[in-house]
Amino acid sequence: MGMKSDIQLIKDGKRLDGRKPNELRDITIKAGVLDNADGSCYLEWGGNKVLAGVYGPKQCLPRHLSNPYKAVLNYRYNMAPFSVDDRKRPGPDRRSVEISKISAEALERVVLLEKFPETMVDVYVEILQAEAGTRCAALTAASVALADAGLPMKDMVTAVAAGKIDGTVVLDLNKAEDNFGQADVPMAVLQHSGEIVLLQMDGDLTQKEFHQAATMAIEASKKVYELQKAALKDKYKERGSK
Amino acid sequence: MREIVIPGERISKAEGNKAGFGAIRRGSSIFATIFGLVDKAKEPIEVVPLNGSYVPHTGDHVIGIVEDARERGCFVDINSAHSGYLAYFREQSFKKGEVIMAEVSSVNEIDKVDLDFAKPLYDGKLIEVEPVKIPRIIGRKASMIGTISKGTGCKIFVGRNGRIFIKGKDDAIYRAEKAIRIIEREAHTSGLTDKIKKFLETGEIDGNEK
Repeated sequence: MGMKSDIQLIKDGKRLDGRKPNELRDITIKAGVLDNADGSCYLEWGGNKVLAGVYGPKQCLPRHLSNPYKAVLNYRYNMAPFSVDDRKRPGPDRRSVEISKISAEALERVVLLEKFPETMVDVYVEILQAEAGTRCAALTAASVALADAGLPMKDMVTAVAAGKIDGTVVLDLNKAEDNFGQADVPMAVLQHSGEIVLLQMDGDLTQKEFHQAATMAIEASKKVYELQKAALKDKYKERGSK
Repeated sequence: MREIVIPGERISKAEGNKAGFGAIRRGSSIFATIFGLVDKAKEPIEVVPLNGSYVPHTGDHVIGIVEDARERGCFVDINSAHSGYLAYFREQSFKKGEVIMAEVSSVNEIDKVDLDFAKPLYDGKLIEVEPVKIPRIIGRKASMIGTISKGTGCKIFVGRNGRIFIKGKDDAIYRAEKAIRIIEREAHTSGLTDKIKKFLETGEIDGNEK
């Protein structure tokens, strides 16, 4: 964000990768890919490759963190060293700790944690390949993995980002647009209640532009939601036909 | 007709329906809260989970492994988030590592479990399956488990918590486990009892050898 460049990000109404302003990148979602996790999901979103695994509810460790009213939800967002161009130093850093915290708070809004007192639910999300918009991809995958694990949830969490490049509000920024654009607004929405459970903004937008970006992201989240739904249902259709 | 639903999906718009397990009412509609199968014609509307860990209920028969033996009782791993406590009755006592079958006598507000009526299980094989598949493995009026038992000559103990203990000859245990794995894999399909009967008679699954 905010890096200066002479690159023209929009040419003849089309973006660098040929997309229209309100077009998403290609998304594929597969549920139940890991045998040893209770629930799992593999997601590809443009150049992003994300693997999510869910464990639990299980005994809460360390014990002093356990809550007698509800389960504790741990979320770990982790980038693989090979996920970016320059090697990423392994381990948690300021950025991933922040993303883990806000994503956990987003999921706490939907998972019915009060049904499992004194336990914990672990959600691990590994970013195998990153190309802008990983926190949205990770949260979308984590939500599918949680449903796959059989945990009770109010709704599915669907995350999409919108932003501004070359003065135009666009959906789902890619890497060049993220680096040289003017704003990026990741957003996580619940489909049925319309609640927004994650909202951040990097860069500047006017009130009107922000409204436009939010409407665009909410509209696009419906498409992502349909893919999440299809991924979960396909898991059993495939097995059933065998 | 059963349908697959995901959390947050609207099941019914009808005013009169009641929400059972895995469903909640919001406004005039009923929504699913878990990923599972639903029969929309049933009342109350219930979602049968396709996956999930074991949640203890009073009266469940479970198979546990003794984790920690104490003076007057023992803690038992019952394949759930919390371990169960079994207070010894009269001269009874168990050693660490023993496999027991017990009944859940109470579950409190924070899911702490007390066990009762314990008996040891020995000379057999303990297998674990997904807990949500247990009702299918037992079958209606225990028909499915009866079929396997009769077909292989094994004695089979089924715990609600996803543990099954099989007693019998080695090859019989092998065949019984194989049959149980077929049910676990295809629990959401219909016509399973006939398939299992055929497998136990011929050793074939859908015309394929083993």
